[in-house]
Amino acid sequence: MLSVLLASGVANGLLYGLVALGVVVLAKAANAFNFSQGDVMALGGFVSYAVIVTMGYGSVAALPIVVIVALFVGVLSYLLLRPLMDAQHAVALLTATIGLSFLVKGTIRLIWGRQGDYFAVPPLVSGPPIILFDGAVIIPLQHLVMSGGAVLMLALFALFFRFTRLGLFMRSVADNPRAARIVGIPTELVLCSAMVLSLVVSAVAGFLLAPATLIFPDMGFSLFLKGFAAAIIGGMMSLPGAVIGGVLLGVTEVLVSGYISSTAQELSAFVLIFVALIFFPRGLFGGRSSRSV
Amino acid sequence: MAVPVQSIRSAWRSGSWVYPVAIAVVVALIGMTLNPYLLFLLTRVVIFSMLVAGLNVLMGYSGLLSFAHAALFGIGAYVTGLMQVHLGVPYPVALLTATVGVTGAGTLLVLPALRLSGIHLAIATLAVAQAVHWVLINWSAVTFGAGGFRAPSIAIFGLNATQSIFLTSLVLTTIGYLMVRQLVRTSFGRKFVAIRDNSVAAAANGVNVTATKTIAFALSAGCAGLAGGLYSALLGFVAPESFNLEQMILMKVMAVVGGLGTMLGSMIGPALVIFLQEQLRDSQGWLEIIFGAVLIGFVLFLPKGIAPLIYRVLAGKRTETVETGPRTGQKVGLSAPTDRAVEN
Repeated sequence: MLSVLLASGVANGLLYGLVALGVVVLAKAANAFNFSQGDVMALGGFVSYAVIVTMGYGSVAALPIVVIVALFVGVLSYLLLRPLMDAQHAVALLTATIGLSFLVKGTIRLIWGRQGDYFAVPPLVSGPPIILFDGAVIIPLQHLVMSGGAVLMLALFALFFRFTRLGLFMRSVADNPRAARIVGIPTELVLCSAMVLSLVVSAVAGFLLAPATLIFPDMGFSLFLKGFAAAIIGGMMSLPGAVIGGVLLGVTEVLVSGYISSTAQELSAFVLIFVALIFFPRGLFGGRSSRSV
Repeated sequence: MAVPVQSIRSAWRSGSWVYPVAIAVVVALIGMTLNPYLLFLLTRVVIFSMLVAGLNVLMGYSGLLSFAHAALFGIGAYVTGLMQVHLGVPYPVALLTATVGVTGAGTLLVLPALRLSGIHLAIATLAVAQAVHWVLINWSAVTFGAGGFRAPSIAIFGLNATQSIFLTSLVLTTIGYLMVRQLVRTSFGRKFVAIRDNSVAAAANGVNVTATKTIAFALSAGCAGLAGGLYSALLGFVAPESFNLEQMILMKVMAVVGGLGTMLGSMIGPALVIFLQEQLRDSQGWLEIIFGAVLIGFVLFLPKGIAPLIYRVLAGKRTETVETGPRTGQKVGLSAPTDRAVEN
């Protein structure tokens, strides 16, 4: 029981972690937040549904198409929101991304049906669960694949920020956009790629999540909320922190649903978000800061 | 509290209440001739005007991002309806209790707002809103769960239910509008704007940031609670889905379209959004796409909303936008702008 719960908690948590990575990347590079991330995650699920179920291709074909769609949406979002991507327009940008989230959700609903319609995507792999220690530990294969995919994405992210110039550019633009522009860093490119990256990682998370759950057009928002919460728990500016925050959130959720009540699962996430914001606004690993007003 | 009393007295003498009251009377006369369906829509506009006026105090004047208004609105509707259903309390008592209760609940929301701002406050209030929504769905013993319940309607002066709630809403919204407008014209309004533009500078100049934020939240929650109570009697049926996140975003669209930081915008926004919503009621998908596009379009191209355009048409009239005052960091001469701002 516990091992199955933990496996699904970790798997879900890693996906929240992926969304949180998107949140952190955008926050670091552009000091911006994008409400449409959750809906793009849902879009990732729906696109993989279209490729796998409607068109009848394999899961392997779905992934590149999901990434391409997310790239497209990301570039369009950037072009649309470019005038707002600076410090003076933080609140306006936030409001605009709420509009963007509505746009994406409405598009999903127009293409894939009415409210309340649920879709099932076949599992990426099928097979018996992995049983260790004579049945003491049971790990469903699906969760293993989800976790594996998420970990792979995380590794790619870490490598990207560690070893590419663009990763370094992003950090410098986040630190001081004006100075970055003066020393010749292509700020526009950095902002654009931060927006695109955050949406691509969300869409891939949606692709990984889709087989484990039923997908529906309204699923996006609470996923964004959880990803954001994971980013806050992790301190908002730290990539590993975002992943740890996601896993913590995922595990808390399944433990509450397994041992207390399954309806309380959703509530536990909101309570955790609220507590994290009030008591650890700089994250579990962030430093203390004092502010008088 | 001497300041509001004085300002109400001066508002009375200045006669600035004449136009809104005259407009309300005209709306009442038109409303009584409409068919029930159109009257229902008009009443929704009136009720949402009150709600958005309150939201505007928070978002437009004080710059505090709250996503809890749909939830507060819902609590107002549920408390009003449930008190009548479970306890058999008369409507006015239930409405008053709901307004006071929601004002209290909204005031508690200031606790996160004291520590958080911007997106963090938005997410914290979102979490609260989602939790409230969860309670409305899952606490079936009291709230009748996801299916909702029939709330009693009201009848006054021998009119039918819709006409009764229409007149009640119109009177209360007009009073609420005048009071909120008066408040934002006093030093309180300037304090709201001061903490919005720069809370550190405001504190340095003697503005009590905690008290000002608390008042902003209480005022705006009170409007939401009262509007919710009216809405329950209008709908005659209260269910959680009337108060979900989608509704919250529509309220935001109303505030942005009308014009953040303007009182006139609180009237225009709901009228336009509810009109558009009725045109699009057949397709949820198109509704979301169009409202999404409207929100982005306004933020990009008309960030101050429609109200300033109307003020410009009525040029020469005194304007009520908060933008007429000097902004943080703006250099002001010794003459006109500051004086005018104080006079407003």
